[in-house]
Amino acid sequence: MWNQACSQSPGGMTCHKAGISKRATLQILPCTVSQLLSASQVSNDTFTMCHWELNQVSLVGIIRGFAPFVTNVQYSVDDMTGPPLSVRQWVDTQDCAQTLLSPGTYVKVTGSLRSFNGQRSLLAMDIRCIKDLNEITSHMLEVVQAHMQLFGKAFDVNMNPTTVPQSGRVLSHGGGGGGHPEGVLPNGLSTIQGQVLHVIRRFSVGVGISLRDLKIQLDHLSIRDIRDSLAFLVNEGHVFTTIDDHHFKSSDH
Amino acid sequence: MLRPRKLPRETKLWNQAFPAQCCIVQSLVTPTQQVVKMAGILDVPKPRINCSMLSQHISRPVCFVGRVEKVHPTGKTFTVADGEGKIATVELNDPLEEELSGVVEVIGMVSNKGAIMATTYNMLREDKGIAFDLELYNEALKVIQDFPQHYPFEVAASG
Repeated sequence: MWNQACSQSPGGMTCHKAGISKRATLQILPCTVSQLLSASQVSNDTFTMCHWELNQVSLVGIIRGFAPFVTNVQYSVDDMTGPPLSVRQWVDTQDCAQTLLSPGTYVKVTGSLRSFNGQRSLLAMDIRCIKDLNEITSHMLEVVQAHMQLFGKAFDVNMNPTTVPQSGRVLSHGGGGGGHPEGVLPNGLSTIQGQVLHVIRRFSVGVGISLRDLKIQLDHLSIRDIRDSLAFLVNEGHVFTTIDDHHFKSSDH
Repeated sequence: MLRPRKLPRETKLWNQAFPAQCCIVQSLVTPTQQVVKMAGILDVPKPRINCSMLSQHISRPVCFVGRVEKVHPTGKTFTVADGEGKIATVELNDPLEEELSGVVEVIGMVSNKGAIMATTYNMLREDKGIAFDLELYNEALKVIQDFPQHYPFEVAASG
Protein backbone atom coordinates (compact mmCIF):
# COMPACT_ATOMS: atom_id res chain seq x y z
CA MET A 1 0.00 0.00 0.00
CA TRP A 2 2.81 2.37 0.88
CA ASN A 3 4.69 1.58 -2.33
CA GLN A 4 1.53 1.73 -4.35
CA ALA A 5 0.80 5.18 -3.03
CA CYS A 6 4.31 6.32 -3.71
CA SER A 7 4.49 5.03 -7.28
CA GLN A 8 1.11 6.49 -8.17
CA SER A 9 2.51 9.96 -7.87
CA PRO A 10 2.26 11.54 -11.33
CA GLY A 11 5.64 13.17 -10.96
CA GLY A 12 7.37 9.91 -10.12
CA MET A 13 9.14 9.26 -6.87
CA THR A 14 9.30 12.48 -4.95
CA CYS A 15 12.04 11.16 -2.74
CA HIS A 16 14.73 11.39 -5.43
CA LYS A 17 14.43 14.89 -6.71
CA ALA A 18 17.94 16.08 -6.18
CA GLY A 19 19.02 19.64 -6.36
CA ILE A 20 15.68 21.33 -5.75
CA SER A 21 16.06 21.72 -2.08
CA LYS A 22 19.09 20.61 -0.18
CA ARG A 23 17.33 20.44 3.13
CA ALA A 24 14.51 18.05 3.71
CA THR A 25 12.49 17.27 6.77
CA LEU A 26 13.30 13.62 7.35
CA GLN A 27 10.89 12.95 10.15
CA ILE A 28 7.11 13.15 9.99
CA LEU A 29 6.45 16.85 10.42
CA PRO A 30 3.38 17.75 12.51
CA CYS A 31 1.43 20.39 10.58
CA THR A 32 -1.76 22.40 10.43
CA VAL A 33 -4.00 22.60 7.36
CA SER A 34 -3.13 26.30 7.05
CA GLN A 35 0.59 25.47 6.90
CA LEU A 36 0.04 22.82 4.22
CA LEU A 37 -2.06 25.17 2.12
CA SER A 38 0.53 27.94 2.54
CA ALA A 39 3.54 25.74 1.66
CA SER A 40 5.33 26.76 -1.53
CA GLN A 41 5.10 24.39 -4.45
CA VAL A 42 8.50 24.00 -6.13
CA SER A 43 7.52 21.27 -8.59
CA ASN A 44 4.70 18.88 -9.33
CA ASP A 45 4.61 17.11 -6.02
CA THR A 46 7.34 18.85 -4.09
CA PHE A 47 6.49 21.42 -1.48
CA THR A 48 8.65 23.47 0.80
CA MET A 49 8.26 25.41 4.01
CA CYS A 50 10.93 28.04 4.56
CA HIS A 51 13.11 26.23 1.97
CA TRP A 52 12.74 22.90 3.72
CA GLU A 53 11.38 20.19 1.49
CA LEU A 54 8.40 18.41 2.98
CA ASN A 55 8.25 14.65 3.15
CA GLN A 56 5.62 13.08 5.32
CA VAL A 57 3.43 15.24 7.49
CA SER A 58 0.88 14.55 10.20
CA LEU A 59 -2.40 16.29 10.78
CA VAL A 60 -5.05 16.07 13.49
CA GLY A 61 -8.58 17.13 12.63
CA ILE A 62 -12.24 16.29 12.52
CA ILE A 63 -13.88 14.60 9.53
CA ARG A 64 -16.47 16.91 7.97
CA GLY A 65 -17.52 14.74 5.06
CA PHE A 66 -16.41 11.87 2.91
CA ALA A 67 -17.00 10.34 -0.49
CA PRO A 68 -16.14 6.75 -1.34
CA PHE A 69 -14.86 5.86 -4.79
CA VAL A 70 -13.92 2.47 -6.13
CA THR A 71 -10.22 2.91 -5.56
CA ASN A 72 -10.10 5.50 -2.83
CA VAL A 73 -12.01 7.35 -0.16
CA GLN A 74 -11.87 11.11 0.07
CA TYR A 75 -12.33 12.73 3.44
CA SER A 76 -12.45 16.41 4.19
CA VAL A 77 -10.52 16.95 7.40
CA ASP A 78 -10.88 20.18 9.36
CA ASP A 79 -8.36 21.26 11.99
CA MET A 80 -9.94 24.75 12.32
CA THR A 81 -6.87 26.57 10.93
CA GLY A 82 -8.37 26.94 7.44
CA PRO A 83 -10.88 25.28 5.13
CA PRO A 84 -11.12 21.48 5.46
CA LEU A 85 -8.33 19.70 3.59
CA SER A 86 -9.09 16.90 1.18
CA VAL A 87 -7.47 13.65 2.33
CA ARG A 88 -7.34 10.71 -0.04
CA GLN A 89 -6.83 7.15 1.08
CA TRP A 90 -6.45 4.22 -1.30
CA VAL A 91 -8.90 1.44 -0.64
CA ASP A 92 -7.37 -1.93 -0.08
CA THR A 93 -9.83 -4.12 -1.97
CA GLN A 94 -8.97 -7.09 0.20
CA ASP A 95 -10.12 -5.37 3.35
CA CYS A 96 -12.68 -2.67 2.73
CA ALA A 97 -14.14 -2.68 6.22
CA GLN A 98 -11.14 -0.74 7.55
CA THR A 99 -11.85 2.46 5.72
CA LEU A 100 -15.16 4.08 6.59
CA LEU A 101 -14.83 6.83 9.15
CA SER A 102 -17.91 8.91 9.81
CA PRO A 103 -18.16 12.70 9.99
CA GLY A 104 -17.61 14.08 13.46
CA THR A 105 -14.71 11.71 14.14
CA TYR A 106 -11.36 13.15 15.19
CA VAL A 107 -8.53 11.52 13.28
CA LYS A 108 -4.76 11.65 12.99
CA VAL A 109 -3.57 11.45 9.41
CA THR A 110 -0.03 10.84 8.22
CA GLY A 111 0.73 11.25 4.56
CA SER A 112 2.24 13.44 1.93
CA LEU A 113 1.01 16.64 0.35
CA ARG A 114 -0.08 16.42 -3.30
CA SER A 115 -1.47 18.81 -5.83
CA PHE A 116 -3.95 17.89 -8.54
CA ASN A 117 -5.33 20.54 -10.89
CA GLY A 118 -4.22 23.17 -8.45
CA GLN A 119 -6.16 21.49 -5.67
CA ARG A 120 -4.07 20.41 -2.72
CA SER A 121 -4.77 17.19 -0.95
CA LEU A 122 -3.07 14.88 1.46
CA LEU A 123 -2.35 11.37 0.24
CA ALA A 124 -2.83 9.37 3.41
CA MET A 125 -0.51 6.56 4.43
CA ASP A 126 -2.46 6.11 7.61
CA ILE A 127 -5.67 7.47 9.08
CA ARG A 128 -6.63 6.49 12.59
CA CYS A 129 -9.37 7.54 14.97
CA ILE A 130 -8.19 9.44 17.98
CA LYS A 131 -9.18 7.61 21.15
CA ASP A 132 -7.39 9.86 23.59
CA LEU A 133 -8.67 13.40 23.02
CA ASN A 134 -5.49 14.79 24.56
CA GLU A 135 -3.83 14.00 21.22
CA ILE A 136 -5.59 17.11 19.90
CA THR A 137 -3.68 19.13 22.48
CA SER A 138 -0.39 17.30 21.99
CA HIS A 139 -0.54 17.74 18.24
CA MET A 140 -1.03 21.50 18.65
CA LEU A 141 2.06 21.65 20.86
CA GLU A 142 4.04 19.34 18.56
CA VAL A 143 3.30 21.60 15.60
CA VAL A 144 4.64 24.65 17.43
CA GLN A 145 7.67 22.78 18.79
CA ALA A 146 8.62 21.15 15.47
CA HIS A 147 8.25 24.31 13.43
CA MET A 148 10.13 26.36 15.96
CA GLN A 149 12.99 23.85 15.97
CA LEU A 150 13.14 23.46 12.18
CA PHE A 151 12.53 26.96 11.02
CA GLY A 152 13.95 28.69 14.06
CA LYS A 153 13.88 32.15 12.68
CA ALA A 154 10.24 33.01 12.39
CA PHE A 155 8.39 34.71 9.59
CA ASP A 156 5.29 36.80 9.96
CA VAL A 157 2.33 36.58 7.59
CA ASN A 158 4.12 38.72 5.02
CA MET A 159 7.15 36.41 5.15
CA ASN A 160 9.30 39.06 6.81
CA PRO A 161 11.71 37.62 9.34
CA THR A 162 10.64 38.34 12.87
CA THR A 163 12.30 37.56 16.14
CA VAL A 164 10.94 34.57 17.96
CA PRO A 165 9.31 35.71 21.20
CA GLN A 166 11.54 34.57 24.01
CA SER A 167 8.89 32.73 25.91
CA GLY A 168 11.15 30.57 28.00
CA ARG A 169 8.55 27.98 28.87
CA VAL A 170 8.73 26.60 25.35
CA LEU A 171 12.35 27.14 24.48
CA SER A 172 13.98 26.01 27.67
CA HIS A 173 12.64 22.46 27.77
CA GLY A 174 14.02 21.76 24.27
CA GLY A 175 14.31 17.99 24.16
CA GLY A 176 16.32 17.83 20.96
CA GLY A 177 18.45 20.87 21.57
CA GLY A 178 15.62 23.23 20.76
CA GLY A 179 16.43 26.60 19.31
CA HIS A 180 19.61 25.49 17.53
CA PRO A 181 18.45 24.24 14.16
CA GLU A 182 21.93 24.65 12.62
CA GLY A 183 23.46 22.24 15.11
CA VAL A 184 21.05 19.36 14.63
CA LEU A 185 22.69 16.19 13.31
CA PRO A 186 20.86 13.82 10.95
CA ASN A 187 20.11 11.49 13.88
CA GLY A 188 18.23 14.28 15.64
CA LEU A 189 20.96 15.01 18.19
CA SER A 190 22.54 18.40 18.70
CA THR A 191 26.26 18.60 17.93
CA ILE A 192 27.05 18.66 21.64
CA GLN A 193 24.88 15.61 22.31
CA GLY A 194 26.55 13.91 19.34
CA GLN A 195 30.03 14.54 20.76
CA VAL A 196 29.05 13.21 24.17
CA LEU A 197 27.51 10.10 22.63
CA HIS A 198 30.58 9.57 20.46
CA VAL A 199 32.91 9.57 23.46
CA ILE A 200 30.63 7.27 25.47
CA ARG A 201 30.59 4.82 22.55
CA ARG A 202 34.38 4.79 22.44
CA PHE A 203 34.58 3.95 26.12
CA SER A 204 31.69 1.51 26.32
CA VAL A 205 33.70 -1.39 27.78
CA GLY A 206 33.51 -2.76 31.30
CA VAL A 207 31.60 -0.35 33.51
CA GLY A 208 31.66 2.35 30.86
CA ILE A 209 32.99 5.85 31.27
CA SER A 210 32.71 7.97 34.40
CA LEU A 211 31.42 11.51 34.34
CA ARG A 212 34.87 12.75 35.38
CA ASP A 213 36.58 10.94 32.48
CA LEU A 214 33.91 12.22 30.16
CA LYS A 215 34.70 15.76 31.25
CA ILE A 216 38.43 15.14 30.64
CA GLN A 217 37.71 13.83 27.14
CA LEU A 218 35.44 16.75 26.38
CA ASP A 219 37.23 19.53 28.19
CA HIS A 220 36.07 22.12 25.65
CA LEU A 221 32.50 21.60 26.83
CA SER A 222 31.05 22.97 30.04
CA ILE A 223 30.01 20.44 32.67
CA ARG A 224 26.50 21.81 32.37
CA ASP A 225 26.31 21.02 28.66
CA ILE A 226 27.64 17.53 29.33
CA ARG A 227 25.11 16.92 32.08
CA ASP A 228 22.26 18.25 29.93
CA SER A 229 23.34 16.05 27.03
CA LEU A 230 23.63 13.02 29.32
CA ALA A 231 20.12 13.61 30.68
CA PHE A 232 18.80 13.78 27.13
CA LEU A 233 20.76 10.75 25.89
CA VAL A 234 19.67 8.64 28.88
CA ASN A 235 16.08 9.76 28.43
CA GLU A 236 16.12 8.87 24.73
CA GLY A 237 17.69 5.47 25.40
CA HIS A 238 21.01 6.12 23.64
CA VAL A 239 22.90 5.80 26.90
CA PHE A 240 22.37 4.04 30.23
CA THR A 241 24.00 4.20 33.65
CA THR A 242 26.01 1.25 34.95
CA ILE A 243 27.50 0.74 38.44
CA ASP A 244 26.22 4.07 39.72
CA ASP A 245 24.63 7.26 38.42
CA HIS A 246 28.00 8.59 37.26
CA HIS A 247 29.09 5.79 34.89
CA PHE A 248 27.67 5.55 31.40
CA LYS A 249 27.61 3.09 28.52
CA SER A 250 26.15 3.41 25.06
CA SER A 251 23.15 1.19 24.46
CA ASP A 252 24.00 0.45 20.83
CA HIS A 253 27.51 -0.78 21.60
CA MET B 1 -13.30 19.29 -2.87
CA LEU B 2 -15.42 16.21 -3.27
CA ARG B 3 -16.14 15.15 -6.81
CA PRO B 4 -19.89 14.97 -7.33
CA ARG B 5 -19.61 14.05 -11.01
CA LYS B 6 -18.63 10.46 -10.44
CA LEU B 7 -20.36 9.91 -7.15
CA PRO B 8 -23.72 8.38 -8.15
CA ARG B 9 -22.36 5.45 -10.12
CA GLU B 10 -19.70 4.61 -7.63
CA THR B 11 -22.03 4.95 -4.70
CA LYS B 12 -24.12 2.28 -6.32
CA LEU B 13 -21.15 -0.05 -6.57
CA TRP B 14 -20.42 0.58 -2.96
CA ASN B 15 -24.01 -0.25 -2.08
CA GLN B 16 -23.81 -3.57 -3.83
CA ALA B 17 -20.70 -4.45 -1.97
CA PHE B 18 -22.11 -3.45 1.40
CA PRO B 19 -25.89 -3.83 1.40
CA ALA B 20 -25.95 -3.67 5.18
CA GLN B 21 -24.51 -0.18 5.10
CA CYS B 22 -26.96 1.14 2.54
CA CYS B 23 -28.49 3.65 4.86
CA ILE B 24 -25.12 5.07 5.81
CA VAL B 25 -24.01 5.24 2.21
CA GLN B 26 -27.25 6.89 1.18
CA SER B 27 -26.51 9.70 3.55
CA LEU B 28 -23.11 10.12 1.95
CA VAL B 29 -24.49 12.39 -0.69
CA THR B 30 -25.82 14.73 1.94
CA PRO B 31 -22.58 15.52 3.77
CA THR B 32 -21.51 17.29 0.61
CA GLN B 33 -24.69 19.32 0.70
CA GLN B 34 -24.31 19.94 4.40
CA VAL B 35 -20.80 21.18 3.81
CA VAL B 36 -22.11 23.52 1.15
CA LYS B 37 -24.83 24.75 3.47
CA MET B 38 -22.37 25.50 6.25
CA ALA B 39 -19.65 26.43 3.80
CA GLY B 40 -19.44 30.00 5.02
CA ILE B 41 -18.02 29.28 8.41
CA LEU B 42 -16.39 25.89 7.89
CA ASP B 43 -14.36 27.05 4.91
CA VAL B 44 -12.57 29.77 6.82
CA PRO B 45 -10.14 29.61 9.74
CA LYS B 46 -11.84 29.26 13.11
CA PRO B 47 -9.31 30.25 15.79
CA ARG B 48 -9.31 28.04 18.86
CA ILE B 49 -10.08 30.22 21.86
CA ASN B 50 -11.08 30.13 25.52
CA CYS B 51 -13.48 32.42 27.41
CA SER B 52 -10.98 35.20 28.03
CA MET B 53 -10.30 35.51 24.27
CA LEU B 54 -14.02 35.82 23.37
CA SER B 55 -14.05 39.62 23.54
CA GLN B 56 -11.24 39.82 20.95
CA HIS B 57 -13.24 37.72 18.49
CA ILE B 58 -16.63 39.48 18.37
CA SER B 59 -18.38 38.91 15.02
CA ARG B 60 -15.69 36.41 14.03
CA PRO B 61 -15.80 32.64 13.64
CA VAL B 62 -14.25 30.62 16.46
CA CYS B 63 -13.77 27.09 17.69
CA PHE B 64 -14.49 26.60 21.38
CA VAL B 65 -13.79 23.37 23.26
CA GLY B 66 -15.32 23.09 26.72
CA ARG B 67 -17.22 20.93 29.14
CA VAL B 68 -21.02 21.14 29.01
CA GLU B 69 -22.36 22.71 32.20
CA LYS B 70 -26.10 23.52 31.99
CA VAL B 71 -28.55 22.95 29.18
CA HIS B 72 -31.50 25.37 29.09
CA PRO B 73 -34.93 23.64 29.20
CA THR B 74 -35.75 25.04 25.74
CA GLY B 75 -32.73 23.14 24.39
CA LYS B 76 -31.71 26.18 22.40
CA THR B 77 -28.92 27.35 24.61
CA PHE B 78 -26.38 25.78 26.92
CA THR B 79 -23.30 26.80 28.89
CA VAL B 80 -19.77 25.43 28.62
CA ALA B 81 -16.78 25.76 30.95
CA ASP B 82 -13.27 26.26 29.58
CA GLY B 83 -9.98 25.05 31.07
CA GLU B 84 -9.91 28.03 33.44
CA GLY B 85 -13.38 27.26 34.77
CA LYS B 86 -14.88 30.30 33.06
CA ILE B 87 -18.32 29.92 31.55
CA ALA B 88 -19.47 30.75 28.03
CA THR B 89 -22.98 30.64 26.59
CA VAL B 90 -23.71 28.77 23.38
CA GLU B 91 -26.83 29.57 21.37
CA LEU B 92 -28.24 27.24 18.75
CA ASN B 93 -30.53 27.85 15.78
CA ASP B 94 -32.52 24.69 16.41
CA PRO B 95 -33.27 22.95 19.71
CA LEU B 96 -30.98 20.09 20.68
CA GLU B 97 -32.15 16.68 19.55
CA GLU B 98 -29.80 14.72 21.78
CA GLU B 99 -28.69 14.77 25.36
CA LEU B 100 -25.59 16.90 25.63
CA SER B 101 -22.82 16.15 28.11
CA GLY B 102 -19.06 15.93 28.45
CA VAL B 103 -16.62 17.63 26.14
CA VAL B 104 -18.07 19.55 23.25
CA GLU B 105 -16.42 21.40 20.36
CA VAL B 106 -18.51 24.30 19.13
CA ILE B 107 -18.00 26.17 15.84
CA GLY B 108 -19.77 29.51 15.67
CA MET B 109 -19.66 33.28 15.54
CA VAL B 110 -19.15 35.38 18.65
CA SER B 111 -22.07 37.75 19.28
CA ASN B 112 -21.74 41.31 20.58
CA LYS B 113 -22.59 40.00 24.03
CA GLY B 114 -19.81 37.41 23.84
CA ALA B 115 -22.10 34.42 23.33
CA ILE B 116 -21.20 31.80 20.75
CA MET B 117 -23.84 31.51 18.03
CA ALA B 118 -23.20 27.91 17.06
CA THR B 119 -23.24 26.77 13.44
CA THR B 120 -22.32 23.25 14.37
CA TYR B 121 -21.04 21.34 17.37
CA ASN B 122 -19.50 17.96 18.07
CA MET B 123 -19.53 15.95 21.23
CA LEU B 124 -16.02 14.59 21.76
CA ARG B 125 -16.23 11.24 23.47
CA GLU B 126 -13.76 10.46 26.21
CA ASP B 127 -13.03 6.84 25.45
CA LYS B 128 -12.28 4.20 28.04
CA GLY B 129 -11.83 6.57 30.92
CA ILE B 130 -9.07 8.66 29.34
CA ALA B 131 -10.26 12.07 30.42
CA PHE B 132 -9.69 15.10 28.24
CA ASP B 133 -7.42 17.46 30.13
CA LEU B 134 -9.15 20.77 29.51
CA GLU B 135 -6.57 22.68 31.57
CA LEU B 136 -3.77 21.33 29.40
CA TYR B 137 -5.72 22.23 26.27
CA ASN B 138 -6.07 25.73 27.70
CA GLU B 139 -2.29 25.93 28.16
CA ALA B 140 -1.83 24.83 24.56
CA LEU B 141 -4.19 27.61 23.47
CA LYS B 142 -1.90 30.12 25.14
CA VAL B 143 1.13 28.61 23.41
CA ILE B 144 -0.40 28.76 19.94
CA GLN B 145 -1.54 32.30 20.67
CA ASP B 146 2.03 33.22 21.64
CA PHE B 147 3.42 31.68 18.44
CA PRO B 148 0.93 32.47 15.68
CA GLN B 149 3.76 32.16 13.13
CA HIS B 150 4.11 28.47 14.03
CA TYR B 151 0.39 27.77 14.33
CA PRO B 152 -1.32 30.13 11.88
CA PHE B 153 -5.08 30.54 11.66
CA GLU B 154 -4.78 31.96 8.16
CA VAL B 155 -3.65 30.73 4.78
CA ALA B 156 -0.90 32.69 3.04
CA ALA B 157 -1.91 33.86 -0.40
CA SER B 158 1.51 32.98 -1.79
CA GLY B 159 0.90 29.26 -1.24
